[in-house]
Amino acid sequence: MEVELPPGTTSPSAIQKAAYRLAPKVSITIIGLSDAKITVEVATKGEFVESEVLSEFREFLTDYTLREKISEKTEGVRTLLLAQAFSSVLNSYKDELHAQEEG
Amino acid sequence: MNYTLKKKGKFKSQGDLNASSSYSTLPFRFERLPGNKVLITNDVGEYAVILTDELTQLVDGTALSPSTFAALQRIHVVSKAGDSSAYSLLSLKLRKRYAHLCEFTSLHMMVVSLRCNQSCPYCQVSRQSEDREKFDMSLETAQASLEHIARSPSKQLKIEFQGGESLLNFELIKEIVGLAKSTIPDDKSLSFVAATNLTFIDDEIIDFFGENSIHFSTSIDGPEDLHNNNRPFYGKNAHQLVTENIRYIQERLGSDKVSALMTTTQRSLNRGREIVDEYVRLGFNGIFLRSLSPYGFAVKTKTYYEYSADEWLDFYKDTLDYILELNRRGHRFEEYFTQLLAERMLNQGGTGYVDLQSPSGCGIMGVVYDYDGKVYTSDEGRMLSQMGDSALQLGHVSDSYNDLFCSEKLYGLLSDSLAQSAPMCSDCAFVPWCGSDPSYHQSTQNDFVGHKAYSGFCRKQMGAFHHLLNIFESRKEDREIIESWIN
Repeated sequence: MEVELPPGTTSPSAIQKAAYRLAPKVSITIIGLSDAKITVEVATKGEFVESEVLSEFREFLTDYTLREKISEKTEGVRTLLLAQAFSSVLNSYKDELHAQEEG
Repeated sequence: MNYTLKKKGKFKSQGDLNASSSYSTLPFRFERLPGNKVLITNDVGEYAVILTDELTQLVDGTALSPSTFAALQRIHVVSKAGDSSAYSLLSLKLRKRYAHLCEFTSLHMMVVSLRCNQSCPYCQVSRQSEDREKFDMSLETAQASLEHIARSPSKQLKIEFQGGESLLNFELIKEIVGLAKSTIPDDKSLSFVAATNLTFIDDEIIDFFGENSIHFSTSIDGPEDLHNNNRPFYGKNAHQLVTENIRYIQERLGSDKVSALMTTTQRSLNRGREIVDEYVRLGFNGIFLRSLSPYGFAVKTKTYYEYSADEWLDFYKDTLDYILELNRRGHRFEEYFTQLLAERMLNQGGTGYVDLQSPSGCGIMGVVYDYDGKVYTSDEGRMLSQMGDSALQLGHVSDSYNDLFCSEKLYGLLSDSLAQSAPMCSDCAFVPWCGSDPSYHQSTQNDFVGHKAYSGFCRKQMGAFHHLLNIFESRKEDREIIESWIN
């Protein structure tokens, strides 16, 4: 089954993440990518019901798209926080080594 | 980034007074919960629960209600415009969260014998029969192991005697304890524990353990029929022997000198309450509801495949409910798996549980020195090797400390084990509370990282987090009981 996703509502990476999470239930492949739309092919696995799986896919897609928005806003801050958190650990370790050498 | 609503006129509108509209957003993750709610977590595991609509407002940077803003501000997901204190506090908490990594390896497991006198079908270790002494650790191997243990930077060292059945090589245990006290530097604390099936014990063992403060750790799977089915002992009543010996140790050394673990088998699934009652009867103060692991005889005998993660979760939830009921009735009894998770969720505290760390605790929190001198990142790594997969072997005790603990192999494993970088985990709101289990994924998927959508480990963890969140948010008395286990 082919599903068309409107442009600007999601991204290939969000689709891939949703597909990854649903991998036991469904196989999802991006078969078309243009400014007008993204087309994915959806193949349900085993006994799973197609309509339920599609519904789940759309929910995950919404969430992973949201997560990309969050990441875009905050990833730089996260990098700074990690740098601030762990550079001081490195500095403390260097100070300790220096003290040991002098002592 | 700051988001400010345009103001019209001299005075603030009622909406402006009621909403927080100018704020910066810090990193967070989310997971949808039942009932139109959303879990928000920060990178150290502090959390808030907000409504679905409020998630959209947060992502768009639009006005939040004062109560939601306060909840998110408390966990440093939002901060008022111009206020930079959240950044300092969060980086401080991050540093504290990972401070334990500098301690390096504190748990050292020494497999003093691979021999065992029982034949448990779910045994994670590929044990050997009792009479094959070539599966005992030699004194030379023990000495070499102790030299590595002494090199660990950790100030608190624990040596755990493992097997097979560790007491089958009691003579070596005595030697190791004596050598350890002379080898390990005085500025480090040293403790001992022996994993044993307690099917045999005598006064010499008890006296030695008492004099040297060695803790007994044994297994009790439940009432007599369940225990004996799980842990057969060649026509003898294993349960009777073990329980008698537990009582004897408690009388001679004290109740706090012996603890027990259980393993959940298919037969256990609808008997959680009886298992807890047995632990209460034996005088224990708690239980660890432990699922089967995919190693050793548990795989060979297909015992591991007898139930799914969902079936174990049902067992866990029902048994935990029973334990909470006991506590409500005034009998303090803890569940240790819940305690571990609660420590993460409510206190953002580190735990010493090697299997739930990111980066993995393999090699850097615990290490195994096998009877033959091979060194593994974990007990599971040893078990995998016995199944023919040496991916988690670091080397041999004859190697240098640097070759063992500063190897590209260990660095690669640790790098792969960082859940914050793994597919699906990196976006998961539970990741600050969770960890990776590279041994589990190597065993079940032949890959350290594993595809989490297929992972029983992931399914179990997420199920447990959801269940505990529901308790913390909607069952006040039970939340207070669990808080009493961690505070």
